[in-house]
Amino acid sequence: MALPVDKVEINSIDLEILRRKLVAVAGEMGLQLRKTAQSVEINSELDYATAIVDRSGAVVATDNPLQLGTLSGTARAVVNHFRFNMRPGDVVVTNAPEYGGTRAVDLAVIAPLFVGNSAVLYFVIRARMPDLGGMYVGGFNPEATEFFAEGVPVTPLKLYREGRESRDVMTTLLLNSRFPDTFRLTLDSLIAAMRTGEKRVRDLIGGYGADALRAALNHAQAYVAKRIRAEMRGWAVGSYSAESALVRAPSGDVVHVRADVIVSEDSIRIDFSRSDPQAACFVNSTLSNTMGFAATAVLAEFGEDVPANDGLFQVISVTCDPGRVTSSTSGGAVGFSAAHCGAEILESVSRALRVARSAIHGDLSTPRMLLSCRPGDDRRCRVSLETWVIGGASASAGLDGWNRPALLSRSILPSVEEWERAWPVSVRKLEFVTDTAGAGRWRGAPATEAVLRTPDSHLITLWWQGPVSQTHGTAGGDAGASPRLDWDDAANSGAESTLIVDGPMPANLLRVVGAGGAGFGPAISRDPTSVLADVLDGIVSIEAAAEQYGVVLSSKGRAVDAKATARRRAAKGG
Amino acid sequence: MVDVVTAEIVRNFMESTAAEVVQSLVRSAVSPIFNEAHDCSAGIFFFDGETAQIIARADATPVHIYGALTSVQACLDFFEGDLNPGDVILVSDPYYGGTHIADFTVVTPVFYDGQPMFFPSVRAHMLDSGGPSPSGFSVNSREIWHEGLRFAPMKLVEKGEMRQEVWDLLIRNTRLPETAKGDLNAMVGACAIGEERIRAICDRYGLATIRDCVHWTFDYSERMFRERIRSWPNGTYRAESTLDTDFAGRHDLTVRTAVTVKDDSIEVDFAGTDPQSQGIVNSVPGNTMSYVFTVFASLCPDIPINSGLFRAISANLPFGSLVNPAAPACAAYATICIGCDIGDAVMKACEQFVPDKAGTVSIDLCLWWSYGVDDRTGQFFIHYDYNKSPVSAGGVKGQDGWGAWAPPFCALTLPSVEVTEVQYPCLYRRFEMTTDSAAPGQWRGAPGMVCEREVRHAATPVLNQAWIQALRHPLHGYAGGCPGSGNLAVMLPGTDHEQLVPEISFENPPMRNGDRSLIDKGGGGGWGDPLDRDVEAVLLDVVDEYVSVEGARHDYGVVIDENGKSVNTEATTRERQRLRKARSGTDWTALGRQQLLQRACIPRQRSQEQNHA
Repeated sequence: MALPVDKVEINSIDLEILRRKLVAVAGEMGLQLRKTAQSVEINSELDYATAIVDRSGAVVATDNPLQLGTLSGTARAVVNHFRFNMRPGDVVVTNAPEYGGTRAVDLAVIAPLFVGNSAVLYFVIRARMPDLGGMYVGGFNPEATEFFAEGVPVTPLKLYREGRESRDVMTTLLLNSRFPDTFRLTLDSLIAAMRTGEKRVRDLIGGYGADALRAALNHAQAYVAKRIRAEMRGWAVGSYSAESALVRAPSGDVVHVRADVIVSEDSIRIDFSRSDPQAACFVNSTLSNTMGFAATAVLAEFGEDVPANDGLFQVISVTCDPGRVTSSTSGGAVGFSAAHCGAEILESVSRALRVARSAIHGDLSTPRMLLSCRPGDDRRCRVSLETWVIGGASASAGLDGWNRPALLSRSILPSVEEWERAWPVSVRKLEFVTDTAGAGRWRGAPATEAVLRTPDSHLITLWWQGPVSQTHGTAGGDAGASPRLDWDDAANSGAESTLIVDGPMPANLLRVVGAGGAGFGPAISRDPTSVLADVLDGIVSIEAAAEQYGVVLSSKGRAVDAKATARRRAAKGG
Repeated sequence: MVDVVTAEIVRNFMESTAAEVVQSLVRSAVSPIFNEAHDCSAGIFFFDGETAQIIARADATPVHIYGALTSVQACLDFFEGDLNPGDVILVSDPYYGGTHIADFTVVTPVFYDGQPMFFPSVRAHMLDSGGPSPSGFSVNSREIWHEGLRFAPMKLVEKGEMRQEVWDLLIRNTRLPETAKGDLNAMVGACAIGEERIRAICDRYGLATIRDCVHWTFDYSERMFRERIRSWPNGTYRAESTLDTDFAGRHDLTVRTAVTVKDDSIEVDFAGTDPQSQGIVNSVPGNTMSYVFTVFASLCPDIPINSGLFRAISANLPFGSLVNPAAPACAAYATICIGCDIGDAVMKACEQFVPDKAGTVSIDLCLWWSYGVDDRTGQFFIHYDYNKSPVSAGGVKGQDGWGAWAPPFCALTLPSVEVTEVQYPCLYRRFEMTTDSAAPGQWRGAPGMVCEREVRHAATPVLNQAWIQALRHPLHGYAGGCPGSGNLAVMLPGTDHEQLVPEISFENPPMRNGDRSLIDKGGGGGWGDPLDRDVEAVLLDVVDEYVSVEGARHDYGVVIDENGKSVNTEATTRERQRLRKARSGTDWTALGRQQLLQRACIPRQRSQEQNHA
């Protein structure tokens, strides 16, 4: 079928080719960034997102669906801000929440691609910078009650004007980072990646023409909207509400994220206005960030087959009254929102959708911990101990949980040896913990225990929800084990702490265990041979095999006693 | 050869232009910190190809305008080759000249005949510039990033057009955006007036003549100052001054200086000064030199103050010390502490060769910041209460200390109590001078004050920070005069929860409507031996209740008759002879200071003033 676009007819095959090429360009930008950036935040933690957006700021292609909301929010705000003042060679930088941003360190750069006198599209990259002012390195401040305590809000600024660097803007940005050299190199990498994107897209324009490209921008979004509507067929139309809660440290107060989801035949409306009010700590989420996590929850229902772009928001609307934990005002503290309450947003939407359709997966996240230390005499150092707080993924229908939750784990787990060479902390132990995986027909991933030894005179920053947090089982599956944190000297004061900010370490040796992934489906319906395999692998103990799965083992745990298992399972109602 | 009369006309024109610029600023700005307290200043700067020089300044606290000199220099260095007519530059980072982040400098290049030679500039204290702590002052600050957004030199206006993006960044990085908008516009507007006036005088006399006149002005001040230095005895004079605390765990931080008079030049060496602090009391070079220049300007009040005067002065500022910290050290409070100790140390050194001119040039810290929401407006407020911080004027030879601030700080004015009560949710219960708080001397210091304030009309509990210095190291006395009596604060005075604040209150419970706070301040130092004070002057002070009958006898050896209105001459003669003998070679403490120290040692004791009340 041919589509008339600006008097140019383009066939649907070419449109689809262009759509896929744009996705590939976004991916290449990300890959280049990853290979060239010198900061661990980018080349190891992969905390960035690239996108190509249309003239309105709508995302057409991205390499990171989780940031769809913030990419779109930032792009729309910046395009609108400079609607009559954007020129070829301009590069705009911003992080401000009121311009679609989230955390202070998440800096977005936006550059237009001009053909003739008009911008055809824009390139956007959001990346976590190593530091941008605030109280502590990296913006991690559990005691922050406002954005200023996490970093400097940067309203949209032209970092480059018509290809020429705005030296005063650049200098001011660098002045406000504790790592000006890395900051500058990272900025250069971001801009270089966009240049590559521009080159690739110009090649496409050379081959297909600008009008074809414009048509492809629309097609890409229409394609996603169409795919989602098609996938939604069979979902039960109706209103669904679900909530997810996080526990604030150290008070133990519970903050609820509540999603009211209305599924109709061709749209999904998600409203978070019943969520708790904005909190005076760093777990708030901007609406853009909330949109990204909500969109991810929806995309999770479709698997990787449906790409992420603004076409999603043609079907899904995400709303929230201002001043909620899911829609913090621009001055609110949001430093940990990528973990919490991001996870709660994801889970609340996901739980509501699991009612609208038969569940195909369990929890998408795992409780996270902020855990870092630094030498007492070096405020610029941040040793990210949370790298080793590894929570397990929950199971899905037909699939045991394995590794970390995929959607929230872009980062690369470093090799222990490499990491120990870079940081003054040794990893004494790193292994799975028996019986931490949530039991189920498909069990969750086991949690990992890490034993870390830090040097003397180090200060620690810690925030976590405490052992009350855990993953939740689905369709009759069991919850995963709760996370744990133990110090060498358990009698030492602070052992029970859920919040320490740049304070003395209770002990030099600490043991952290992430949360286990939750199970999916009743445990007594799990294939006994799989249970046996888990026992042999040390993931499940012989006792738990009997108690939780109703699987009785013989031969010292090396074989399934089929008859005993059948009796036990029958007794358990299986 | 420039005509001297014309040169003097031009010099005075520049002085009056600076005054007009600052008047424009205080009359158009929104913040009480500008329009009431006048914590702002203006200067006319000159650039003739080498370095920025100051021609004239007005309403200038010392730290402002000399700090601005380094800021203007930083702006010119930064934009060398990139400056255009119509540009307006802003800078706040203390490591780009200047003093602390709170003081914004706005400077406008005046292009005349194609040359940017003159730079009207204003510098002013902004109530807030982002950062983790409102106002930028916090005991938790350990790095410059804790004090607010650091602005490198930035073009706020470019070729006559406001750079909206820079403006947006400025306004976004303050907790008081509406106030900041008004104040920034006032700053830009004030500079525009300066430009207009400079163009007018250039039109009238021509650029070449103006340039000659400016050079003449510099040369005149330099010549006068060098002549003055020649009248001082050659030698090296050492002195030191100590700060009570850096609010970060260190106490007794000492500035050490050696002032060398050599023929017609002065060298100030701060070798031996204590290492920089982890807290917020480090003085960047612009701030340090501000106090150095202030001392010498104070010693020569008859010499026009401009960069010519500074040419004869050189300084050594040890890197990594309190007077020249390594980045990213904090610097928020350096404008007062340790800055005032820099001034005091230099003045104490100068006292040794020009005692007749020496006196208090500093202030000490007795500040009270409050934060909360005003119930009448629903707006967040930051109250920087100048009424709780004045009083530092010391005596000088021939003149008792009077008024509030030490003379170099007199550009600051005390905000009206009534207007302050309208602007901030508070009620002043007491604001009066206190008996025996004036530092004794042949010419005494100004009496101290007590200020008691009540929270009123607050919508939320009000957070408070009281910052107190000089309880242990008060302002110095000179030529045998006594030091000031020192400072302390009391939270919730007269209640069961009364709490003394000898240095800092930061984590005290918030105050609610009706809760009170009290600050008890000493004044500047006295000059000369109190036993040499005119007996009638002491009697007058007793009648005025500046000095008690007991204080007259204890400090001045003046015995007042029982009627309290006349002096027992014979008894006074005997008492003075006795005291002179008793004090010979020994330290003694004035009555007012004794009383303050007594109160400071007994936290729960209600102050004497409270009991009277």
